[in-house]
Amino acid sequence: MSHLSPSDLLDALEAPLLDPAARHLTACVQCRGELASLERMLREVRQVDVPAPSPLFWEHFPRRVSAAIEADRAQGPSRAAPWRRWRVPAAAVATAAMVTAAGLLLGPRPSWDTPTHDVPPGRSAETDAVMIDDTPWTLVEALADDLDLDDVGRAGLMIGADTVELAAAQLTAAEHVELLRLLEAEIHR
Amino acid sequence: MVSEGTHRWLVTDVSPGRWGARVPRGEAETPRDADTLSALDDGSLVAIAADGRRDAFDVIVERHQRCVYAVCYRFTGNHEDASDLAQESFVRAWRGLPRFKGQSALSTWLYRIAVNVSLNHVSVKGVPTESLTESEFVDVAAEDPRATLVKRERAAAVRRAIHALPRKQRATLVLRAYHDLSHKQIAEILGSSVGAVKANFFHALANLKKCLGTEP
Repeated sequence: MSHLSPSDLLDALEAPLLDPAARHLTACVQCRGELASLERMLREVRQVDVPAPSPLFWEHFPRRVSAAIEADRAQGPSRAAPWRRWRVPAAAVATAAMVTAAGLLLGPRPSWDTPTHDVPPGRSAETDAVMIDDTPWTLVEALADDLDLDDVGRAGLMIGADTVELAAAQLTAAEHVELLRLLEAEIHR
Repeated sequence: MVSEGTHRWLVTDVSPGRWGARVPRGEAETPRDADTLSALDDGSLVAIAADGRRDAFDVIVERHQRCVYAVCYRFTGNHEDASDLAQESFVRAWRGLPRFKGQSALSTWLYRIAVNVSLNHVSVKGVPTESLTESEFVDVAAEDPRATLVKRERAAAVRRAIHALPRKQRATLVLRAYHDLSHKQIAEILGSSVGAVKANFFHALANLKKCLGTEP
């Protein structure tokens, strides 16, 4: 049997492994060493405490939250009809998304392989691409100008934290190679 | 610590026949006094609070404030920011309450909000600060002040190493190591798969090991 996988090692941190992994762990010095060092690290991490705030803090905290909610309610639109808040931004975002999609689908696409030597002097391929994309982008910019970032986020139209990382982690090996190629092409452009 | 499934919609019968399921908005009789509210489970409190009852939400805050604060503290490293972020998390929870459908436990949902609020704050504010009380004051009356100092320095190094981890690894480590959440619960909170959570947890520990060395 090959060495224990990271997943096996994490499982072993929590409960005894089942055979054949358990048998391997008993026999393999390297895996035992790896497990022991993970255990040590986790133990050390767990020793770092959060200092407890004063009991008065906990007593006061719900009132503090309550005041913050009151202030938030006083500032923001009515909570009674949340859909009203959404009507304008949602329509604007939808329009912006449609315009962007149309721009991407119908407009000329700059090619990664655009040969620069075919471009007449004084005009670069990049300049052309920017000029072509400029009109829809200006429209998108104008439409999105009044949008509140929080509203856009709540509408699920923003890239969340680690979305890119997650997407990259889900790529296949071939897709990784292609992504690398595209990134290198972009860096050297 | 959160045990999954304890905060679902089916609730402990405080008053048989009245609170056995999620309360339909505007139809059920709602408990008036704080003691009755405190006896309700999260699902019932959410249903009542979503109708605009702030006293029900206060009970939710009281019940979950320590966990939410602790998550925020793990990301910020100081009391002031942690208390501000915990407050912000609950304000967002109040705003989002009508959209909370109870597919996950309330605690899981609150963790998700706190993690997002904290990660956003950390990415805007940069490396967290550490309070004096945490890192520099050494109790000279303690048994061995030198050992205490070494221990605190090591703890500060661990904290710095944790803060230097990539966001997802840090969030996974915090939720797993300090809040004892299962890989599945963390996956729900971070919106990823159990496999990705395990990989992040493993890499977080491996990176800490690399950064700190094996011996304290």
